[in-house]
Amino acid sequence: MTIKDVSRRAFLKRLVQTLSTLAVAIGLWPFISSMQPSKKALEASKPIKVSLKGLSENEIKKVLWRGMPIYIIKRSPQQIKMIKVKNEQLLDPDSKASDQPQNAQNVFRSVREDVLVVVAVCTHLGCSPSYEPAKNAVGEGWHGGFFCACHGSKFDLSGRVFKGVPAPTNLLIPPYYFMDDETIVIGSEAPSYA
Amino acid sequence: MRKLSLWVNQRLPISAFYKQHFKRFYVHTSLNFWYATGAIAFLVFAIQIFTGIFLMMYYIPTEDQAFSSVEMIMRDVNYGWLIRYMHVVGASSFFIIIYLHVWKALMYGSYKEPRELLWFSGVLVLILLMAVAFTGYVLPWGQMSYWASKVIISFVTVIPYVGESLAIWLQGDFTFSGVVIPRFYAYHVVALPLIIIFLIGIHIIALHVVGSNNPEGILINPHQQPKKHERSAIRPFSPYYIVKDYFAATVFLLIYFLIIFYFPTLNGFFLEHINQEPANMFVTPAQIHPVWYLAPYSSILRAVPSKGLGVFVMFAAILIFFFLPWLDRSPVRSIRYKGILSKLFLSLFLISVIGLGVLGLLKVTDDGLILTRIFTCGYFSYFLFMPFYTKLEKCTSPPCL
Amino acid sequence: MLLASATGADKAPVELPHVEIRETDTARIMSGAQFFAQHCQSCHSMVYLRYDALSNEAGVKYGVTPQWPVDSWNGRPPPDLSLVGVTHRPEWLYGYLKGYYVVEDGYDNIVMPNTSMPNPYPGLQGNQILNMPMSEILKDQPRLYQALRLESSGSVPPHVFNEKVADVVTYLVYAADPSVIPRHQIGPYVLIFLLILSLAAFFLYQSYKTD
Repeated sequence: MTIKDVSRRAFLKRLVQTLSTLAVAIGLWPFISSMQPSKKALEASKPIKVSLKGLSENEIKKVLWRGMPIYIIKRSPQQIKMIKVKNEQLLDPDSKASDQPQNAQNVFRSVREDVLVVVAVCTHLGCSPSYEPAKNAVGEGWHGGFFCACHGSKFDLSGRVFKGVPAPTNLLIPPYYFMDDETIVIGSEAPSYA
Repeated sequence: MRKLSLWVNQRLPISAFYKQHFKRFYVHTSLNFWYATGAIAFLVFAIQIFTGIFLMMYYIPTEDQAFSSVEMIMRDVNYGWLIRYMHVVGASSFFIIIYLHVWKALMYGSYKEPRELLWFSGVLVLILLMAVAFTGYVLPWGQMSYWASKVIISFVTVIPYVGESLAIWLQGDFTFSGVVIPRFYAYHVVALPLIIIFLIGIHIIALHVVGSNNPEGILINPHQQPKKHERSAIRPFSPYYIVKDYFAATVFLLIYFLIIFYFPTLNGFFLEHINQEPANMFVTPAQIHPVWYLAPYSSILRAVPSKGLGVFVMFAAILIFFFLPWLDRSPVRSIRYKGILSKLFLSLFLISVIGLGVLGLLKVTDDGLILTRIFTCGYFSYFLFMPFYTKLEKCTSPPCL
Repeated sequence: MLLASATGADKAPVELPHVEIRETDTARIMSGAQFFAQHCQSCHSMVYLRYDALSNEAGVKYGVTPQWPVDSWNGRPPPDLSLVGVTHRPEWLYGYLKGYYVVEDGYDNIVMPNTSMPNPYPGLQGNQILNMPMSEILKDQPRLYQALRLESSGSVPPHVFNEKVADVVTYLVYAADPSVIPRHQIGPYVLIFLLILSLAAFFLYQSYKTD
């Protein structure tokens, strides 16, 4: 075998090795991709329209978006007043460390003062907190809010977490916008014109 | 790097294993491309396991959802069509490759002493492969899944006394129903593949004790370094036959993906059109025929005009392979040195298998039935007359090393 | 040949007309899908195309079709057509969709006699009548266009109508396996790659063979 043959064989060996590695790497992609959400899941994750028609004060409308329970609550003027009062017992009153869309980064944690849209999943371990609007419903000095029965986490009427409970952050607010006065679209912060 | 390799090898003999089973595993240089079928079969098996795992992530083994979940894989899952077609075309490819592998063994006498157990494990793998294919075929719960497997399950009813009860036990219901889907799923994805993996292990261990056969049928010691004058006839498996198998595997993949991308059902050959209709217990398809790889055996079943005997003969057609090492009484292994009778009977066997396969896919006609019976006789005469023709004929002697 | 058996349900008293289906012709698939949305989906669903972008764009939607009870339509409710493109040959579908002719109490179909599907587009196609007695058709198995004759013309000329029907058949074939589009897109790259790999492997094998 000549030197030329040796170098030719070495080159071919490297070529086959490189191409094979490439083939396996590319060949894995469809399999990885197949584990992504399917078309069905993508469809289910699209923004949903919810009508607020006939929603009365303190009534909860429950909808499912991306598999998450979402509460839509109409607030009373009294509650709105209540929220405006500064509360020292809140852990993150200005929602700085919490998750909400930009148009809801205020004390009400909502786009409109009178309507709260909140993901009813406790930020502690994922239980679904209950809405307790009645005074003293959960202990003395309770002015209404959310209470998670699993580990006793408490949130105010804006879904802001109280100090001294296991939940680390305020309740999640999903992206949403008002299509008109009585319809909201959950899943997007603004209408898209795609 | 060298330190790491030393550290590992002191604890796990990877290098020694590679040396013993690849670099210093010696084979005869007459090995041709028929001998790549083993490596390709291994590749296809790996593909089936791999694609199967991903299909399992979406397939739902219930009567209501089996069919629609398969359609969901085909349409809604990213590249689901690719994964499923790889599995479907893989199944047919597996049989093509395995049949070629068996043909090679028949031609070159790879079943003969001292490879009897190697041959045994291989035949067992073939039988289990048929079982895996059958149970897998049921899973999409299409028309053919239902009707063809109903027929196959009823084979056991020919067993005297216990047949009926056995069928009810197998199908978990008093008729053949969707109850079988979850249990066939369990066989298809866990039980049978586990046994096959075990048997392939046995197959390879046995191969590495007795060494590869070769077209010349010469017995060589696979672990003994060739002497100087033998160097032209004996070579180590690695690298010479690794590159050869590798090349063969890439050609296989080329054809395999050509089919997947352009003819995924091969016009109903690999994926039958009627099976794309959900199972319907009220409507039998106009014609039930088996998938191509089981067609020769279904033909044999048809050839016998008695239910019990037919099933018996059909199973005998497969089980008779086990006796091959003792039926062949020829002093040589390879067909190259056997006499004219062996060549004739082997050709007859090939023609019969192909003929039975073709007839098995066609509608039953009177002429067809006569041909089927002739081919069935042809099939069995290869085995049953073997002790006589291999003894009678004159062989030439293979070259010495 | 061997495989004609797979479509055993495709028998017809007439010789079916030839139709050429270009399965990746998206313009025709689209046109066929629109036709389907207009003329077919009020009775026939396409459940497995629920998330198919092309179908949705053409107006083929999930849930538009009524869910027929099993005993409606005298026990033969309009079937879902997601897979009809593979369970029937394109020629059969094409012939069937063109095969309506006038009888005393409405229409019958020459390809599938006594079909429970009413003529979906009498206005479009116009009315066909038998060109020869039924007994003769059953005896001679003539071609479709020999067996039927257009008696009164429809709102579109026959060649346009034929194109429309061929479009629908193209769509039905597509619907049975929408992967045909990505398969033909990705296929060439994969095969060329594998060809290069196998060539490289071949030369490597050659270099060892002559050792």
